[in-house]
Amino acid sequence: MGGLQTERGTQDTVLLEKKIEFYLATLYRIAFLQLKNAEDAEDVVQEVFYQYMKANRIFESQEHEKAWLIKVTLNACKKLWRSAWYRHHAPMPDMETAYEPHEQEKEQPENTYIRGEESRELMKAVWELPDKYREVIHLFYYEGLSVKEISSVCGRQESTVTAQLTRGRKVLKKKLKEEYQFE
Amino acid sequence: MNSFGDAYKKAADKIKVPVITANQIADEECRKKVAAYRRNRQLMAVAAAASVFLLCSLGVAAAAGYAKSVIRTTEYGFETADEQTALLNNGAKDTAYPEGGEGAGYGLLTARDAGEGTEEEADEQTGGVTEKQEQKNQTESASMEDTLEDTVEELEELMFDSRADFLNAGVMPAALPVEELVCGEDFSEEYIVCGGMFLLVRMETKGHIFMMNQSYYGDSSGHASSVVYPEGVCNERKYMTGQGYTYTVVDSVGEEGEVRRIHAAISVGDYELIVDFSGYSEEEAFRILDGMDLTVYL
Repeated sequence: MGGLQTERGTQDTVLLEKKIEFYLATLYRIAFLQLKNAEDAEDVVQEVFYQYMKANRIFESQEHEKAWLIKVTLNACKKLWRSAWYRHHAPMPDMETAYEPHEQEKEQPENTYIRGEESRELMKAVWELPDKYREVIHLFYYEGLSVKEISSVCGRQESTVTAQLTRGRKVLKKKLKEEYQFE
Repeated sequence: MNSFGDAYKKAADKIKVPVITANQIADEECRKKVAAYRRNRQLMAVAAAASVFLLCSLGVAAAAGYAKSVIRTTEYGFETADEQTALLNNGAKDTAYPEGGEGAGYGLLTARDAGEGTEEEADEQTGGVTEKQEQKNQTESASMEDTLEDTVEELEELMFDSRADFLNAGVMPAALPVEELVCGEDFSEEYIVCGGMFLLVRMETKGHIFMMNQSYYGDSSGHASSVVYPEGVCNERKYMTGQGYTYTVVDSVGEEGEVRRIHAAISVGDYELIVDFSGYSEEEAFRILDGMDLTVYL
C-alpha cells in the first residue's frame, strides 16, 4: 500500500475515513440501484472514493462536493456496465439479504412484517423502472435534489429530467395501484 | 394516502451498506485486482487448466457452414470459442440439461456463486488440483486479468440512443430486430459500441426487454468467451429462422418452472450473437429472431 504512511498521509487517511463515513450510504445506494448488484456497487463506491482521494479537490461547499461525488458515481456505474458487458439479468435481490431490519422500530411483529412487505413492493416497482427513470426518481425522492441539480449531475437538460420524472411517476402510480401520493 | 417520497426513503434506507475503510481505498492495486477478479471470474474459470469447465463439445455443437465459432450451452449460459480453441479443449460432456422444474435451480445466483459451484464440481470430479497447478492457475489468472483490464480500458466506446444515429454512424454491421416488434409504451433504446468489435444493444418497453450482444472475432487468432445467467438455464433447443440460420436457445426459469427469460446464441461468419428476451413469449421471441437479417455478417 503506498502513499499513506507519512504524518501527512495519516491525516489524509483520517480525512478520507470521515468522508467515507459521511457519503458511503448515499453513494452505495445510488450505485446499488443502478447496477442491481451489491458487489459491483461496492467496487464502484471504492473507485469513487479513490478518485476523490486522487483528485484532492477543493469544493466550494458541501453541496458541491456531494454533487461531484454523485456524478462520479453515476459515471462509474455507466462505465462498469459498458466495459464489463454487465448484464442486467439478476432478478430482484433477496430482500432478506439486501435489506437490514430496522431495530429502532418498536412495533408489533405483524406490523413490521406488513411494513416490510410494503417496502419490498415499492422497491420492486422502482427496481423495474427503466434505468434513467430510476435514476431521477432516486435522486429526487431519496437525495432530495432539485430538477436543476439532477440535470447537472446526470448531464441532461432540465426538460429531460422533468419528463423522466413525470414518466417515472406515471409508471409507479400504475404499478403501485395509486396507493401513494406523488408530490 | 401515503407520501411516495416518505415511503421510498424508508424503503431505500433498508438497503444494507457494506463497510469500507480508507485503507481499502488507498490500496489501489489490491482493490483493482479484487474488482477485476470478481467481474472476470467466469473467464478465468474457463482459462484455468485444471477446470472441467470445457469450451467445446464438438459432437453436440459442431459449427454450421456459415459459423466460425462453436457454441456450447452450460448449466449457467453459453460458452463460445473458435474451432481450434474448441478442439484443444474438447470435452465430450453432453450438453443436455433437464427441463425446468425442481431441477431448474432458480434462485439468486451471482456469477461468483456460479463460478464457485463450478470449481467445486471440478475438484470433486478431478480429485482436486495440485499445489503446483494451483500456483500456475493463479499466475495465468492474474496475468489474464491484467491483460483483460488493460484491453478493456484501451477500447474506445461510442454510445447512441437512437437506431438512426447508430446506423448513420456506420461503425459496425448489426442484425437489428424489426422495429415494430420491439417498440411499445415507454420505449427506450441504447447502442454501445466498444472498440469497433463489441456491440451491446438494449431496447426496453413496458414489460419487455430485448438485449443483444454482438462480438467480432475476425481479427483474433483465437478466442473463448462465456455468458453466465444467475438463475441458470435449461430447455436447450434449436430454432431455425426463415433465412435458414439456426440459433441455440435456452430458458431461465423461475421457482415454479415458469419461463422468465429466453436466451439465443448463434455464430455467423466472424460474428457471435447472444440475444436475450425478457417479458417475451417464445412465439414473440422467435418472430423477432426471424426478422433479424443475419446476412449482414457474411
